Amino acid sequence: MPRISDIDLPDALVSAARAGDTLALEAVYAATAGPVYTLLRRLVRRPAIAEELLQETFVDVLEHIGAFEGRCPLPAWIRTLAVNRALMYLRSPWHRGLEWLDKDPGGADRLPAPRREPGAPLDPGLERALMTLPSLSRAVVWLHDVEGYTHADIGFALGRTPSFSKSQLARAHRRLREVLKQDEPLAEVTPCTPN
Amino acid sequence: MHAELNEWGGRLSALGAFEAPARGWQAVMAAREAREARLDRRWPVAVAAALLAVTAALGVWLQSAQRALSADAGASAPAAGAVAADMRAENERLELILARLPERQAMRGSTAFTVVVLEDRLALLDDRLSRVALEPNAPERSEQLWRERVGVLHSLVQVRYADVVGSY
Repeated sequence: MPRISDIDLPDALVSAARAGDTLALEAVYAATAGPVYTLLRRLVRRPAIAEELLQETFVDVLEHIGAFEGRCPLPAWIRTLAVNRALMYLRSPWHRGLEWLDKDPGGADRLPAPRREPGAPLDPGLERALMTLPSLSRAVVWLHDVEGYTHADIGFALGRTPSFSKSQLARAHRRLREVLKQDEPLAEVTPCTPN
Repeated sequence: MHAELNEWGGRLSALGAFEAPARGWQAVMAAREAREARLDRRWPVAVAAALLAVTAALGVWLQSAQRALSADAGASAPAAGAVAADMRAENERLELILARLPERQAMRGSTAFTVVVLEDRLALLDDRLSRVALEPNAPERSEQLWRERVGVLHSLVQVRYADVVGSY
């Protein structure tokens, strides 16, 4: 799965998009929507919320493309807008109030499976373990381990300190290891009937 | 440590990707139109709200200017009881404004959180005010609490007002 920041858009397309060309903006959407949606699905648990955040992110892109100065690649800028939208949602009391609904132990199993790219290893245990993490921990893990954010970036985005991000990451890794360990099959099968 | 971080990064990056929703671009354009329509509807209300806010601010400023003038003109500073009475009057005025603001069925989570925090603070102040008569320096303490209550009410009015304006 390509990281959003690794998506390479032609300079001509970026220039046209910056000028507000709707066709160019649609092409930018087509090139980046998948990875942005994947990022949002990893940050927020509910598909409907992720879809709404995706729409809001690209409405932000349409509204603010004139302010994009090209100091970073356009996909990285779009990623920043998406992350801001998602973190704003995760920090809202509305989301915190809903979070207990997601604590259904079977909830993670019922999530629709992501599309697997050909050749990508199947890792349902890790998918499930990731979904057992609290929202902010999951966000820290994903932004740090996959999107390459630094602890300072994450702390800034969350309105916390870099130490908060570090401790969240360490705790989340520990939790992932524990959940994955529980998933490991027993080395020896103990017979449950007497011989 | 770094090897472990790289390992997590590698494993997580290898997880599958999700398909963006079908007809996503059309949904984005529709969401944009909806946002613009909301903004268009907000303009007249925002202008009216701004006018009201300016009028209210002018009223408060005139009141405080009058109080300052009478304080200067008077031989001595007003008694603590009189100031507390002023504060109570200001509280009543703000409570009246709050009561006139339309009740919202739904509000942004962050706004709701702020409103709850401010209302909790008001409840705490009301509790303290109900017991202030028992304190040794009751008049001064009462005035201080009423002042604080006015401040919290001001904030609450501002938050609720902004929320009502923002909903149009």
